[in-house]
Order: sequence, then C-alpha cells, then structure tokens
Amino acid sequence: MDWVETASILKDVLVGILIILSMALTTIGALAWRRKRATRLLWVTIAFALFLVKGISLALGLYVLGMISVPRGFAGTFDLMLILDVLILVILYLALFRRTG
Amino acid sequence: MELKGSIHGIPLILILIFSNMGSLANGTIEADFSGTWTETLEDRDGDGLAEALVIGVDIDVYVPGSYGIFGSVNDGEIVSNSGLVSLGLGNHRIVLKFPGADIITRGTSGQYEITLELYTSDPGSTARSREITTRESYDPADFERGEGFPGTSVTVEGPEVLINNPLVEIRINTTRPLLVFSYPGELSRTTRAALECISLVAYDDQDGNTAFDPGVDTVKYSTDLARDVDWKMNLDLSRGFRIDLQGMAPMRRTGSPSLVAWASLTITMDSTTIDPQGSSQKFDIDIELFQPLDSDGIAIVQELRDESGGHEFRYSEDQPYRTISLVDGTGKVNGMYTWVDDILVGEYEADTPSKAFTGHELGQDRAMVVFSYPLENDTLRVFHDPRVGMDPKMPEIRGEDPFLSNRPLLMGAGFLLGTSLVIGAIIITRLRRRW
Repeated sequence: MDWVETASILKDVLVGILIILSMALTTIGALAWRRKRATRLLWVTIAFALFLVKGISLALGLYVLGMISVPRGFAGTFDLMLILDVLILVILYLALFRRTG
Repeated sequence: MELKGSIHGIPLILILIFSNMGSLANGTIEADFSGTWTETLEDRDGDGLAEALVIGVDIDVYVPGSYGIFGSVNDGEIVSNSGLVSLGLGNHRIVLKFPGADIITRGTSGQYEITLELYTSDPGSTARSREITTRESYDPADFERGEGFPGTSVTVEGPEVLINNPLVEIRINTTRPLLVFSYPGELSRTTRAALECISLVAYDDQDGNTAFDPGVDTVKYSTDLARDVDWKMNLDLSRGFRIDLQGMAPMRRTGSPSLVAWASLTITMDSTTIDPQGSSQKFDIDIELFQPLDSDGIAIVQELRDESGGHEFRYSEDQPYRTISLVDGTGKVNGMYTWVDDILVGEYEADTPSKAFTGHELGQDRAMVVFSYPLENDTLRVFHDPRVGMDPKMPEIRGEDPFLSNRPLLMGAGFLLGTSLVIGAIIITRLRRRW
C-alpha cells in the first residue's frame, strides 16, 4: 500500500473522529454553559459547534453528495488539516475544562 | 501528559508536509530521459588514470528548443552543468563529464549516486529529473588532474529523428531505412511497430504474375539496404519538417558480385503529408536507376515488426487501399501500414501512372511486404507513397485515479474510535475523581 492510499484511509477515519469529538465537546460545552451561564463558555461552545458543522459538511460532501473530491496530490495536506482540527479541539478542551492543580 | 501525546504527531506532520512536495512537479513534456545511459572513464593519455568520469544520457526531444542537463554526484559533492544546447526533434545523447580533479578533491569512493536534471529555457516547463547509480565503484585513486582538461562538457549525438504528431509518433533511423511508429507519449512503449526496408531486388518473373515472389522468381540484382548502403539524412526544419533519407544502392549481379548496377533510393517524409487528424503520415519512396536493367521488375522487400509484442497482423483491402494492421488482444488496432497500387514511373521523371504489384506474408511477430514495380518502356524512375499510421481513436491511458477514494465505512470506524476516546476520557476522569 503506498502512502497516498494510507493517507486516503486516514482521511476517512479522521473525519469520523472529528465529528464525534466536536459533537461530544459541543455537548459538554452546552451543559457547562447551561450550568454556569458564563459568556466565554457560550463562545467556546459555538466554536465547537462550528467544528461539528465542518465535520458534517465534509462527510456529506465526501460520502453523500459527492461534491468534494480530494486530489491525490493534496492527500497529505488534507490529513494534516484534519489532524490540526482534532488537536485544536483537544487543546481547547484542555484549556477550558481540565481542572488545574 | 496530554501535551506529550500530541508531540508524537510532529514527525507525522513533517512527513505529510514533505511528502506533498512532489505534487508540485507537474508540467508539459517537451523532452524526457529515454531510459538508457552509459558510464565510461576517459583516459586520454592512456596512463591508466582517468581524467574524467563520462556519463552519457539519452533523451527524447518532442519539441525542438534549448535544453540543458545539470548533473550532480552524491547530492551535490561534484556538479556539472551543460548549459543550454539547441536540440532538434528526436533522440539525442548528452554526455556529461565530471573532471577527475573534482573527484580527487572531494575524495569520494564507491558507487556514485548521480542526479540528472533536464531543463529547458522555457520558464513555464518543468525540469525532468532522474536518479542513477553508477554500475561500477570508483575511487579518487582511479583519477588524475588532467592538464588543460576543459572541465565539464556536452556533446550531442542523434541516431534517429523523432516526429511527434498528435496521434502518431514516428522515429526515423538516420543510418538505415527504418521507421518506428506508435501512439505518442506514454502509449509509445505498448504500441510500437517497426517498418524496415530490407532489400532492393531486380528480378525476372517466372510465374507470370509480374510480382516478385521470393523463392520463385529469379533474382538478377540485389542489395542489402542495411548493410550495403551508406544512408544520408537531410533534415529541413525551417517550415514544419522535411526529412530525406537517401542512399546509393550497389545492386550486385547474382553470380557475378563484381558486376554492380547503381540505384538511388530516397525515403521522404514531409509535414504537409500528415493526414488532417494527425494519425498517419505518408512517406515517399523514390527509386532512380542509373542504368537500364535487363530485368522484368524491381522490388523493395520490407519487414513490418511488432516491437511491443502481443499484436497479430491482419491484412485487409478497401479499394484502392491495402492495409496490414497490428491488432492487440482486445481487437484494438495499434498500427497500420497502408498503400495503394498506384505509382508513377518514367525514364527521366516519374510522371506516368502505372501499377505496382504488392504481396505480403504474415508471420507471428513480423510480416513481409513486397512492393514490385515492373520495369517496362525504359523505366528508370519509380515513385510510390505508402503510409504508416495509427487508429484515430486512441486507447485510454489507464492511469491512476487523480482523486482519493472515499470509504464511508472507514468514517464509521472513525466514529467508533472517537466514541471510544470520549468514553475513555469520561471513565478516566471519574476514576481520578474517586481516587
């Protein structure tokens, strides 16, 4: 299997992870905002929700509507973007919800 | 702890960035490496120590222009640059010389990794590159600093001229009456056929059919067109192209080889005789006898060969055209040799319509084609114009899909993985709270 094929598989898995992770974080953010009513929690929940919208749009475009085709030459960069999205979500989660000390 | 986990992603990110660099290389092919190369040592004074390592690389030029080769040994330790050289259509050998003085200075031993880049003066085109490893191992002790050695140099040699039409690529050998034709570009290797004029024969017809039948009719004069004839090529690229391959054929009398009759054979290709679709090319056969021959006719024996394999020959007639086709396993025609029997003959000019008598014999990977021209009414000149070509419907190039394939099921696997991560994080968090 060449690296482009590997990157192709990774892309599909990463889209799934992005959707689930953003969905979970949006839910956590929404629950936290409902409990504390802090504005910053509302903003970060909206940010998580936008990541969810991005993930669902990608999945629809790639697998349902067929509107998005990823060129082979863009395989690595596409995966890189998805990895960065997942990392951003994790870091935002750590910054906001992880108990310090 | 969590941050440490993300650090492992950095090498992957770097790999992904660098692996994408290759996607930038894309452009029009104007010239490319043919695939063959040579390596020799140049020892001009014969003292056993070489003044230079000489690398000869064959390139195919599809668009005439200025091209250069940059060569680099062991990732830039020793470099050589040809500068731009004006090259015409066809196959050329570029010879790069890496001076012994540089090899001694750098002290490099072993097999050399050489990177070759073929570049052009056109900033819009992309350099083609090729990596080669020398077949032999070298040591600085094998070389000497040649006195007055000019350093790197380039010579250009060309055994064939290449014509690149939209649907047919033709290579004309400069030293033999040999045409190799195929679809252009990537399909060239799998659709290649060769047409070679083997011999010129003057004969007496024994069976009354006027045509030359090898083994039946009496050969009175003959010449081997590859071995006995010194061929010269005239190439005019001022308006399109005009290629004349001309040879003086010594036709030796059977049984008396010292008796020689002379004939001139010229094969001409002209850019004005490409068909409008660009799929076939007519060529002219001009025979000029320098003395009348006491024979019934003169014949050109030709061989049509399947150079890429996997084709069978089929003969068909669609008056007035006669065609031998190369047909692949799927029934696709990948080469055609077509002719009509109409010829022009004459004593001083070939201006009188006449008829040729043509025969063929189809074999497994080659076919013999014989064009027989009757010698009557003091005929000294013969003109015939057959055609080589390809089916105008070009086969599909089976390349890889330019886009990544999408697998929704794998996204499902991503869902499961993401869910596991979330559930795992919740469980770990609760356990930590309890402890």
